[in-house]
Amino acid sequence: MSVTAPLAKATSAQNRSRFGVLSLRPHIRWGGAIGWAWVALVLLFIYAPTLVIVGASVDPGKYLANRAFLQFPPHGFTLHWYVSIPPSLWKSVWISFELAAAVAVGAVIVGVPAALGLVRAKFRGRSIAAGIFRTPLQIPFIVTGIAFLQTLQWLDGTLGLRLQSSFSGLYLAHLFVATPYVISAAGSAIAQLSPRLDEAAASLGATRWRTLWRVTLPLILPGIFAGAMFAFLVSFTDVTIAVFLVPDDMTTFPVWVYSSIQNDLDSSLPALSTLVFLFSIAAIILLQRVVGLEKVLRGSGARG
Amino acid sequence: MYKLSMPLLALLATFGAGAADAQTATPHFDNVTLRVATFAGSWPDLIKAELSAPLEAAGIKLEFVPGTSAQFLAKLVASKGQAAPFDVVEIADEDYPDFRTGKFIRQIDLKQIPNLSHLNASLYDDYHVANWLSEPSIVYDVDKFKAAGIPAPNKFSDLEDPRLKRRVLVADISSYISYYEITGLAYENGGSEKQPEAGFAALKAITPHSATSAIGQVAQLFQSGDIWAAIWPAHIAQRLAAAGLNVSVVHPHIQGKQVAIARGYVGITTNSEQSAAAEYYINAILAPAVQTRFYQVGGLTPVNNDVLQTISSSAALDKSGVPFVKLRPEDVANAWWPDYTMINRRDWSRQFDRVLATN
Repeated sequence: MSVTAPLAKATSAQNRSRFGVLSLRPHIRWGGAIGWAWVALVLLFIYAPTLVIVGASVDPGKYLANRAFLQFPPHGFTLHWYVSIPPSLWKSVWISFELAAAVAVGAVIVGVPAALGLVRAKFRGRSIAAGIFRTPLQIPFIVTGIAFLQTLQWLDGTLGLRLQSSFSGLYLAHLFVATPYVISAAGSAIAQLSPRLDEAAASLGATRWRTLWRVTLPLILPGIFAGAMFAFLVSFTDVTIAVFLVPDDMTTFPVWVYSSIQNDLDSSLPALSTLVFLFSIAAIILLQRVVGLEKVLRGSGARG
Repeated sequence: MYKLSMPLLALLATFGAGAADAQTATPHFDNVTLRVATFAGSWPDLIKAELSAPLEAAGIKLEFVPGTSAQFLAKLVASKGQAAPFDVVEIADEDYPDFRTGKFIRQIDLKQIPNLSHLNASLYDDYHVANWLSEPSIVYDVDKFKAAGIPAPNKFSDLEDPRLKRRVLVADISSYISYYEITGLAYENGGSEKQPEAGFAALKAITPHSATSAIGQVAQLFQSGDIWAAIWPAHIAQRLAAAGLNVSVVHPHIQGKQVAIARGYVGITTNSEQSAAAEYYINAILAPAVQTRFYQVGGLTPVNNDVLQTISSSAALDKSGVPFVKLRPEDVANAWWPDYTMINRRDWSRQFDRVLATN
């Protein structure tokens, strides 16, 4: 088949739609190959650093001790670095995970009602309120970290409330920066809902709470889920705020990684990073099997 | 005859036994928690491995506050006038003037730290005690230099060789090492800490590959061959050599002194309520076992002269038999470092960023 044949076929009369617009169906074969190639390139761009880390994690290193230089491509294969991950590094991953999960939950609890109020309620200054809720995203994290450090210290000094250098203090700071993501994502989902659904539920005798619980929330679940994911990621990966507020005798995983790269070369870091990556993949697969990602991403009810 | 009552006998016996014990017993603390602000990552693990058991036996429980000297200073500023967020604090050389000016550290009772007798007098004073050293120097790839026909460098300014354009890695201004490279270049070109312009001009003339504060990046760039030389502490050369690279180290002479020494200090915070335990900890960290471990694991130069004496005979050598790190006590005693009281750090940051931006 010649190169121009698909084009000729595409422009032939039988491939014109009822409105005379050129049909693209014959191009799918060519477009499909290019499309897949493009997707492959984008995936490679996104995952190439991860693949390097995974590859380096099994490299024996030119100096088999805890301070070896790891290479990619690996010049051998060993699982030595996986079994020699120090307990303090595992502890830091657990602390980060706990913190991020708590922040995601807290951001949803705070953010969803805020989003409902901003989208559905009519009050003066609504746009100003929306702007205020977005402010944490516009403040550099280093400023947020220092501001919380000073504020928590002041609270200790004036009210005797000891939150600095504590899990709670770091949690509050992360909640501050993570909640706007939930408000934004949930707010977008709420804005797309037709208010007529609420009216229909009310006309069928549902109370406002029942309508919220049985109609509104299931429909905006994709937005909530997306916001919660962002909140989790913002907390799990934060270094800038954590370095000021990290609790005594606890180091979050990103702070551990940052410090190791600055001051030392712990060879078990690529191994643990690989495990964290595999855990994320496993979590997504489990979510798909148990809940069904499509259901979560598309919503479980009818749209307006 | 006076008959001693049983309770009095018991009391005397206890006193006698206690007196005898006091001559040989280590100080005992009443289960105090000592908060030590030090580097994050595996550094606290290293200290815990050596000191947890003996300190707990003495009644001290260690708790680590992770961060850097600058972050600790920020926390002390935030908590000024209140209870200290930690008791012992790791102080970087360049931050020490700020710690003193802000009165964030208190005087140390040096008599409680007998291990100071093993340190060079320049490594401690009433307010801070050095617990590790590093040696900013020129680390270079011998094979790359030979292949390019470039003679081995002797001083920082030798890195201006046009054949080394974009092949030299310098320390970022956020790292203490940068103060050594700028000071060194300044003195080599007629300047000083107070007049660093000559140093910045020389830095520009070097046309560096990039600037970094991360040891990981230095190692990777050497391994990939992207850089042929770096201004970095000498101990990285040991690890590069162990990884198979043919590297060597040059310690440029500045003001008649050969070795550059960067000192990591510990101090006791002003509002700490555990100063006695803190002094006990500082003494423990100067002990030979801990100092040896700092060298073996981190490659840091010990401050304890006895340890220096012991390990200098087994120091790692480059392929031509020259030690990477200067480990003799007399080298440490005859070292140079920038006078931080004469350095305007904000101005230096601005000038450094300008040099890199126009690189």
